[in-house]
Amino acid sequence: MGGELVRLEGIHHRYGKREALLGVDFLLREGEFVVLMGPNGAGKSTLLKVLGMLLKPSSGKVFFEGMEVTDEGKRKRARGQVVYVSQDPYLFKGTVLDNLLLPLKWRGIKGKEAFRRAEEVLALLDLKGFETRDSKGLSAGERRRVALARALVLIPKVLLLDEPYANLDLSSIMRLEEALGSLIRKGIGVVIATHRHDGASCLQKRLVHLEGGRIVKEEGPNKALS
Amino acid sequence: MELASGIKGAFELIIGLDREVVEISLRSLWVSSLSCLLSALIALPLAFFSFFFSFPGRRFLIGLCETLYALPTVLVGLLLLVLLSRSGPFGGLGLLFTPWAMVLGQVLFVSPLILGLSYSVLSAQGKSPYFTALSLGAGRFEAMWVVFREAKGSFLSVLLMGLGRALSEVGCAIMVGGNIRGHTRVLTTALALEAGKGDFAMAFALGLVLLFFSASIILATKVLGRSDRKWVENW
Repeated sequence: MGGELVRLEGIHHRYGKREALLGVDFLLREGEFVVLMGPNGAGKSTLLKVLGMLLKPSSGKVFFEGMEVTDEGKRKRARGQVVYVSQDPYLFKGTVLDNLLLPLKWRGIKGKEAFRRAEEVLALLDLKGFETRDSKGLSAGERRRVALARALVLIPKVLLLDEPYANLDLSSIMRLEEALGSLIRKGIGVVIATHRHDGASCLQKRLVHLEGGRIVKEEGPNKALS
Repeated sequence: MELASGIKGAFELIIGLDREVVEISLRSLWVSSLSCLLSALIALPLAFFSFFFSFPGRRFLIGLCETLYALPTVLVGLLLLVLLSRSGPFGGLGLLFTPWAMVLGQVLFVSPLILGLSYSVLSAQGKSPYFTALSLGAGRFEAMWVVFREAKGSFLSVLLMGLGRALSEVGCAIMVGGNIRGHTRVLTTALALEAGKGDFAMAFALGLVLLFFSASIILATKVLGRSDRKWVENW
């Protein structure tokens, strides 16, 4: 069993008066694949954003690699190791290659190494030849694949994907699973939120069922914190 | 006949690069550009702050700015006249009847316009680019820069709208500038004066220059805003 990546203890989060998360405990370890399941409004996206250090929960504790994330500085450092891809990913203006190189630049990776990584990931997701395409002229499925490529190019420790199978055809889903499998084997922790049970079927996973902001059931090889 | 001879005379003045027309036009441009730039320096950070951070009175601030879009410029002129006059609280600064007073006046009514419209640009764009950049490793300021870059055409259009408002106003410029020849006379104030005097050639020449500036601004706004015009629909 890999080391601890992200741990949540007693997480509550509310948007105005609406409670989105109600006392959630969660643990993600290295090389673990977790599928968050539940109906719309169950709190899956909110939980992903908390795991991605993009949302400061109303209460509760967040740990990254065993260290409690208590302030913005620590949150930013942790964010440097985590990538979140939303259900409707936003691509920056410019070409597909620009979209991959900009985040690499933010993480201090430039020049040949940046190009090498970008080319590798584009090939992995069957996006060869898309380098100079304008990001605003892509179809929904292509946008999603580019957003995934942009996340994978950073080789994060934690990868969070919100509804990653939406708008993808079968061959893209298979390529995505292939890519996820290789990341998991490298020790990257992957969490996806989906309302479809059939996704990620060939990968060993832990299923976490959310309902009304609470974890109601866990299934799979490594039941977490409880 | 007066119209025809006025327009003919106006073209002669413009083509001949009449010294006074050029001088007044350049003064108009620098006074309005400077006030627009200062307004942007005040309003853009405030718009970003209001959009990304929640604080008490945020809605009031945005509502107030939207109300001030239609602020009568003579009212700003009157207020500044009282404040900057020799007996007023800021009389000692000696700003009244200088181009700086005109800049100050224009900043007062251009800033709310830039703040309100920039907030509309940000609202139309949403927080997706910001959160995407953050999640990909950008710092908060880098993420805000991304937001600016993504809608830079719209922000430039907003600045040009501010410049257009500053260039075309007359009430405040007359009240705090005094329309002094060679010192505070700008296109709008000079046009009003020359028309009153009956020098239609000069009035039309100044009017044509003003029209040229306005048309250039509208054209530039359209070209720059073509790619990201969603905010116009929200406005």
